[in-house]
Amino acid sequence: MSNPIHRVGGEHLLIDKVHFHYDTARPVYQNLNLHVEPGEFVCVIGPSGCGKTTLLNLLAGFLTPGQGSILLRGQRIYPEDPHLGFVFQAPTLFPWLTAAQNVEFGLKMNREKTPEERRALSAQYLNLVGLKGFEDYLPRHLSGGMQQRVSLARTLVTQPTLLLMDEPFGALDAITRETMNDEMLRLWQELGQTVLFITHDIDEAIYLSDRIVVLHKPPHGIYREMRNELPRPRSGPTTRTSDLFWKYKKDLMQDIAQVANYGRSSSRTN
Amino acid sequence: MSAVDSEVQSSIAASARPQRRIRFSWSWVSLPSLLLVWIAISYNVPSYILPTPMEVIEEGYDWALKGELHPHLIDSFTRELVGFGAAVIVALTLGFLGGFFRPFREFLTPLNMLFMSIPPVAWAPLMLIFFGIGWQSIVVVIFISGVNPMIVTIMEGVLQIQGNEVRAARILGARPWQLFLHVYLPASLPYITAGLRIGFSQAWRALVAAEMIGASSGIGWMVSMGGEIGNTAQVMMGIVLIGLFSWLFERFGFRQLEKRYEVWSHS
Repeated sequence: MSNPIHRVGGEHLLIDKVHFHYDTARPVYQNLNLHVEPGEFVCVIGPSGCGKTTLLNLLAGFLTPGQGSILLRGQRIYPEDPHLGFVFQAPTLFPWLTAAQNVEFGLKMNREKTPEERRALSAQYLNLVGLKGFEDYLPRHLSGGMQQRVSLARTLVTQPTLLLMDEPFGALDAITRETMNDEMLRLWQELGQTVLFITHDIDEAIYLSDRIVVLHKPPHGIYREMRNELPRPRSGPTTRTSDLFWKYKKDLMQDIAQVANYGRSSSRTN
Repeated sequence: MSAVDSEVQSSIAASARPQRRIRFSWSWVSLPSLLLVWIAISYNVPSYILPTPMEVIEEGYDWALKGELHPHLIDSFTRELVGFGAAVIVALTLGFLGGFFRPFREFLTPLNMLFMSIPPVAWAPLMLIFFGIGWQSIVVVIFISGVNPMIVTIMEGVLQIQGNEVRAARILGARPWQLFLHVYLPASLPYITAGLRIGFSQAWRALVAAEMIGASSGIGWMVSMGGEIGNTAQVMMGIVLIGLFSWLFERFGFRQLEKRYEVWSHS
């Protein structure tokens, strides 16, 4: 099939000496630094309460850092930035719009395309996420996994160069999640964006990423960064059972356990 | 794509609705039984106390034949339209402002509660002094009765909109006015319709009541005049017309509006 969807490429993301707090007495970040290469796939993991969602809200510009800066291609990020895509934990589709109309939403907002062009693009991107033929379905008539695919198509169609993903497959069952992981990799390899993917699932982080960032408890920022050398292209049965995969998994489980126990009374030592 | 296929199947199974079959409902019996009670009583008492349904129909036929019915209907509809229309515009404005701005909402709430607790017709004597007998005073009473329940419901509609939908729209590039047009407005449509429906029925009752007190035409006037001259058939005709039109507006107005979003709201 001739597919006119072209590679959008990624851009450079810099988180530089970021301080942030909701409450002065309990800062979330005191000196957060992270540097993501163009087109790199970075997964962020950490126990609950480590500020994952705060990080994404800072990156999307919903929150502003107290000090320091967050720059995409050298410029400050704001929510309406056309280079920015965000896939939420829940699909958050507009329930009054059909799948196709949901995908067209972003195109309609920036008003650069004619209705015919929008229609064609939404059909292409729904096809890309495997939902050909579901253009006219309302979200409530789609399953959770299909809704999240629509949500993904809705984000990808605007051709963001930075894709922020907040545990997008966390609510799906294990089988659907693995399918979605494979599709995510396929789409990313085709489109080439910079991806910052937050998850609480160690397997998912290892399977998808080029690099894994383990978050520490607030306000310590990053606990450890780990380069993921698993070869690409990856495939479920081979990658998920390789020795390297298991080694990473063991390391990360230890990291997470240490972070989770950090600051607790040392009566129980491992 | 086998994963997709199985998802499709489960989703089709989930969305399969019970077949559209006509099923007996006791609601079909309620109005006819009221009619039977009316007939049973009316044939056993003198018609100047309670006329039979046939006599009421004859009365209506007489009015219509003499060309005296429709001017009253037109007067009532015009008053309702003007008063309710103005109330809709004001309620949409204040309801959305109240939904968006907390201080304004806090300011508005006690006023709403006060006005809700006063039966709208209580304003009629005052309005008659202000504007005299005529359409202005009736329109104002209609406005007062319709606007408050609509403000409350529309405000609720704006408040229930989930922050996530708004965030998603912003990420997709929606500017403030686009957020209003493409997210806030459609998302609150079920509440707006509910508000219009409540407001309309309140306004319709107030119309009839106000016409009974301070008008020289209209359905309400027909009822009160019928009472004064002892024509019970005219009174009953007015009552039947009030109920009939209320039902027609509901059935062919608001019900149709509601159908437009029935598919996606309350899952």
